[in-house]
Amino acid sequence: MYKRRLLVFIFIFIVAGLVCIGRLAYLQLVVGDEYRSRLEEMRILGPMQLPTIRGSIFDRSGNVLAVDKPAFYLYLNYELTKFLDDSFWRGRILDLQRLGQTAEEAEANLRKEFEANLDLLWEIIDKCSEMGRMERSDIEARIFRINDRIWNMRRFFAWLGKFGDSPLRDKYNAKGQAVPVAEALKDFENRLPDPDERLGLTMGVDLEVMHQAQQLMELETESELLRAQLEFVDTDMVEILARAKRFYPYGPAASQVIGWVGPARSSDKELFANDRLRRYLDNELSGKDGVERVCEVVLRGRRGEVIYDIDSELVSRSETQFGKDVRISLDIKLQKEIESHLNDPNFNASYGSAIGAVVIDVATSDILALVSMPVYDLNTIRSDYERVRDSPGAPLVNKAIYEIYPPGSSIKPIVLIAGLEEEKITPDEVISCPFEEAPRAWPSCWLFREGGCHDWSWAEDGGNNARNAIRGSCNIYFSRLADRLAPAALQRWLYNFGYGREILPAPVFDAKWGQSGAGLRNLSQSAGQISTSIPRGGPKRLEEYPRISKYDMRMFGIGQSGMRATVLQVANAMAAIARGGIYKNPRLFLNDEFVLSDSRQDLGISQGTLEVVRDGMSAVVNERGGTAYPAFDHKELRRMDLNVFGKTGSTEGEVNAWFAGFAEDAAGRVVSVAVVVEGGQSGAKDAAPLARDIITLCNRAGYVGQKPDK
Amino acid sequence: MPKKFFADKIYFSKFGHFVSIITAMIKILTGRLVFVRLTMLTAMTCLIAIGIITIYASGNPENVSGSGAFSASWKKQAVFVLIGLLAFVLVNRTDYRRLGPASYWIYGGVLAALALLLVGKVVNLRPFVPVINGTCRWFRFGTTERYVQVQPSEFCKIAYILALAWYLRFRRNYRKFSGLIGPFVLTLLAMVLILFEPDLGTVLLMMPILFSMLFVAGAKVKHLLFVVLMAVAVSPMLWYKMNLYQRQRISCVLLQSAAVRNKLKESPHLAKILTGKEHFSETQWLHGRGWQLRNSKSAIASGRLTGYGFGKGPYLKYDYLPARHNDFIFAIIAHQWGFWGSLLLLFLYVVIIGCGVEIAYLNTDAFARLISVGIIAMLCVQVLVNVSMTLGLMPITGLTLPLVSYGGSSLVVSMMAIGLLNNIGRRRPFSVARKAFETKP
Repeated sequence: MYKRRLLVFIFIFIVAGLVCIGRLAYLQLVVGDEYRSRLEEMRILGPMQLPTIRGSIFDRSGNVLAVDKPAFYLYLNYELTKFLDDSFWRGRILDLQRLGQTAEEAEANLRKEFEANLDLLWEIIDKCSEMGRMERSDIEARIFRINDRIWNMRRFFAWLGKFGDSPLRDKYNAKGQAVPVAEALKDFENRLPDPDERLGLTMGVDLEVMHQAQQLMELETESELLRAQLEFVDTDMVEILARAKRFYPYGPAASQVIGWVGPARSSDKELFANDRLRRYLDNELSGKDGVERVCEVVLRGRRGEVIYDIDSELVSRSETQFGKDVRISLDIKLQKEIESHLNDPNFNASYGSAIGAVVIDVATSDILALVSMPVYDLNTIRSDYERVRDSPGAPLVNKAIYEIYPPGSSIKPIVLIAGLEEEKITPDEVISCPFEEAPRAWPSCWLFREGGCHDWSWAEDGGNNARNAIRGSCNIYFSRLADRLAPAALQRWLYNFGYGREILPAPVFDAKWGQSGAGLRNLSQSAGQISTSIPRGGPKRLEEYPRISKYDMRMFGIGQSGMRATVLQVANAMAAIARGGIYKNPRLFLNDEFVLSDSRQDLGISQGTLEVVRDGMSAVVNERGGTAYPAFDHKELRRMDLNVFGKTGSTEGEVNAWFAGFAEDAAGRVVSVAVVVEGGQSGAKDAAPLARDIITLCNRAGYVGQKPDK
Repeated sequence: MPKKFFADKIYFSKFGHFVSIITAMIKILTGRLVFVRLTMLTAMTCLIAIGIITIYASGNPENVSGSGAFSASWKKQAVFVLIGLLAFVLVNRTDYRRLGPASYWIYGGVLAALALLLVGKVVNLRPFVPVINGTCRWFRFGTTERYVQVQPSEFCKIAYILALAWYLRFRRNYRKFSGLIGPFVLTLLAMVLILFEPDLGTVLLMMPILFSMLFVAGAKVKHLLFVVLMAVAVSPMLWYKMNLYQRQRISCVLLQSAAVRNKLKESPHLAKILTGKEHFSETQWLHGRGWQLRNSKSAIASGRLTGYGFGKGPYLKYDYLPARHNDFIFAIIAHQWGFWGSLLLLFLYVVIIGCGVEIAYLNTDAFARLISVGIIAMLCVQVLVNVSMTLGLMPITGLTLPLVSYGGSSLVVSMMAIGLLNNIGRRRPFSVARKAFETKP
C-alpha cells in the first residue's frame, strides 16, 4: 500500500505541476508578445510640457497692445513653508503622543528637531521683506495661503481615501463633475467628528505638490532679481523661476477692447477639449475679456511636448507653436490721447462721467478708437478686480458697444432720410413749431421749454423745413414726421442703418484653426432696440421686431421711448451717411485669417435726400442757430480745412448727452464720430465740445484734414 | 604509517579544518544509492547557482534607484550557501536514525523559540526580536549595523517532519479517526504559534506535509477527506477572521479577470466582500494590491520563449517588481530565460523530487520513509505554491522558492532537508523483512 500511495501522492503533485507548466506556457507562448509590447509602452514616461507662448495683439500701426514677457518669481518649497502651518505641528505632535510622549514633550522635541528649518524659514522671510516691496506680514500671509491650500488638498484626499464610497461622490460623479472640496471637507467632519482622527488621516496623505516649489512673490525689477539670486543662491528649497507674464504696454488704454487673461475655467476648457496640446493645464491662462477672449483660438498657441523614455532617452519632441498675433483696427495712440483728454478736467467739463466715444474711418469702416470711460489698468486688473468692478462708472462695462442709450435727437437724420425716401415729406415742407404746449400725447419742443420756438427761429430763414429742423433739432417736426411713417418702414430704415442688431462682426476663423465653436466668440456688444418691447431672447431678424404703437412712433421720431442704441451703432450710421448711403459693418479685426463677410449695402438713398440731410447736419455745426455751432465755432477747426457735419442729442428721462457726426476734408478722407456722456444735460454743451476735440485729435493723428505745422 | 585520512579526528590547524570538512563531504557521498544521490546533489547545486546569479542580476542593474539596497545580496546568499553546506554536512554526520529519539526535543526547542518570538510581540525584546512589517518572525544576532537574522519557522518545518515521522513510525491507530488527533495536535502546536507571528505561508505549508505523511503512512482516505471537507465548510467563516490584506491577496487571484472587476464595479456588496471596500476602483486596485501580481505575470509573460537574456529586461533594470530577488525570483528567471529557462528550473526540481521519491520508494524503514515523504511534500508544495503565485494561480504568500530565493534560513533548511534525504539514501537498510505499511494490520 505504501508504494501505491507514494505513487498516488507523486501523481497529485505531477498534475499540479502540469497545471503550472500549462499556465506558464500560456503566459509566455500565447500572450507573451502582448505583454512585451505593453512593457515597451510602459517604458515611455509621461510627456513633459513646454510652455505655451501666447500671441501678441497689435494695433493698426503695429504698436504692441498685449505681449507675453518673461517674469521672475521666487518659489518656496512646501517642505519648508509647512513649518508655519499649525496643522502640521499638531499632526506631528499627535504622532509622537501616540508613541507615548506627552504633548509638551512632543512639542519640545519637534521644536528641537526642526529648529534649523524654522530658522531658515524666518531668515528667508526676513530677506524677502528686506527687498522692500512686501511687508513681513504680507509674506507670512502668502505662506499661510500656500499652506492652507495644500492642507485642504491633503484633507480632501484623506476624505477620498477613507470615504471614497460616499454618496457625495456618486452624486457628483453622476454629473461628471468632481466633488467640490468644501463639500467634501464638510462631509469629512460629519462622518469623522473626532478632529484627531481626521488629523491623523490627513497626515498620512502624501501628494506630489507637497514636494514642489510654490510661488511666493514676483521679482519685478532687475535689482530685485539680482538681489534674490545673490541672497538665495545657496539656499535649498528656494528657487527663482521664470514664467511668461502677459504685459500690456499701454496699461489702461482701450482696456475694455483689449481685455485681459486669467486662469482658465472649466467653461474655457471645453474650447480645446479635443486637442491635447492646446487644452488648458491647471494655472494656464485664457482670455477673459475683450480681444484676448475673442481671439483665444488664434492667440492661444500650442504647447510643445517632450517625451523621454525611462532611460532619459528622447522618444519624441514636438516644438511649441507660438500663438498667432492679432491685429486690430484701433489706433492706440489716438485712443490713448482721447482717453487722456477725456480724463482731463481742464478740457472735459463732464470729467468723471461715464463716456462712450467711437471714431470710425469711413472709407475702410475701421474703428480707430473705441473709448469707454472710466478705464482700468490691464496690468493690475487681476489683483484689483473687485475694486474695479465695484467702482463708480462701472469701468468693466464697455460704454461704446455694450451699454445702450436712447439715441435722442442723434436719430433725427435717419428719421429725416426715412421720411424723404418714403415720400412722407418734401425738403421744403414746413411743419410748424409754434410757441405753445404740444397737444396731449405729442412731445413738446425743447426750445419751447427754453422760452422759444422754431417758427420764430426760422421765420426769416425758410421756416421749419427739413434742413432747419435738423439744424434746430425740432422735436415737433420729427415727431410729426415719424407719425406719418409706417412703423415697419421706420424700423426697416433704422435696421438698415445698423440699429437694432449687433453690427460688430465676430471674427470667423479660417477652417485651419479647427475650432468651429470658437469662431462664434465676439466682444460683448448689444443689439440695441428698435421697438418698445423685445421678445425673449432678442429678435434675430428685422421681421421679429414687434411693431411700434402710434404714440411710440412720435417718440421714436425723436429717439426716445423704447429706442436704444450703442455709441458704435450711432457712429456707424453716421459713417453710412458720410459714405453717401452705403452701409458697411464696422471693422475691428484686421488679420487676414479672419473671414469677414462683405456687409456693404447700398441703402438706395437719393442724392437729393442726402444733400438735404448733409446740409442740415452741416448747419448744426457751422451756422448760427445750429445746436452745436457754439462748440464748433473754433479757430482750430478752421485751420484744419474740414467740413464737419453733426447732430446733437439730449435725452430726457435717462439723461444722456450725444453728439454724432462726421468730418471730411478736401481729399475725401472722412472720420465719423459719436460721443455719449452719461448724465450729460445737453448734447450741445456736454457732448459736442468733446466730439470737436476728438475730431481735432483725429486731425493731429493724420486721419482727416490738414495736419498742423510742426 | 600515514595518518588515517578518513578518521573522525579533527585536526587543529587551518589546513586541517579545511581538509576535515572536505573529507567529511566526500565521506557523505559514500554509501548506497550513490548515483541517485549524486544526481540529486548536482541538481541542488545547479539550483543554488541559478539562485545566486539571479540574485546578482536582480540586485545589480544599471541606473536603477532602489537596486543598491540589495546589490550585495548575492554575496550574502553565497555565505548562506556555505552555512547551508556546513548544515548539510552536519546533518549527514550522524545516522538519521539517531535523530529519531531526539526529534521531540528538537521540535520542542523550535516551539520554544517560536513562543519566544510571540513574547517579543507583546513585550519589547528589541533588537533581539525585531518587528518587521508588523511581523515577528526573526531573531536578530549581532550589532545594529552587522547582524544575522534567523527565522525559526523555517527550521520548524524540518523539526516538525522529524517529530511527526517519529510519532507515526510504528503506530497503526491513525487508521482510526481518533488516531488522527495525535498528529493534528502535534501540527497545531506549531501552526498556532506561527499563525500569530504571523507567517501564513509556513502555516499553509504544514497541512499538506501532514496530509501527505498521513496518506502515505496509510491513514484512511475517507478520514482525510472528511477533515478537508470540514475545513472547506468553515472557510467562509474564516474569511472574515482574516486580515483585510490577506483577503485582498486572495481576491487578487479572482480580480485578474476583467469580468470579475467589472462585476465588482456594479456590485458594491460583492466589492465589500472581496476587497473590503464598497467602492471598487480599478486603477487603485491595479496600483495597489494588484500591482505585484500584475507585474509578476508581466515579467514572466514578457520573457516569451527564450527570455531577455541574463541580466537584461525591464524587470531587472527597473524597480517594477518588489521582492524580485526572493519571493518573486521565479518571475525574474522566467523573464531572463523565458519558457525554456523556466522549464529547466522546474526540471531540476523534478530531478531532486524524483531522487527523493526513489530514496523513499526503495526504503523499508518506516521512519526513513516518513521523513522522505515529508521532505518531498515540503519541497513540492513550496515550489508549486511559489510558482503558482507568480503565475496568478494562487494567492500571494510568503513562501520562497527553495534553494533559489534569497534568504538564509530558507536556504539552510532546504539544504538540510536534502541532506537528510542523502543521509537516508546512503543508509538504506538491507532488509528482507516485511516492509512497513505494506500489508494491512
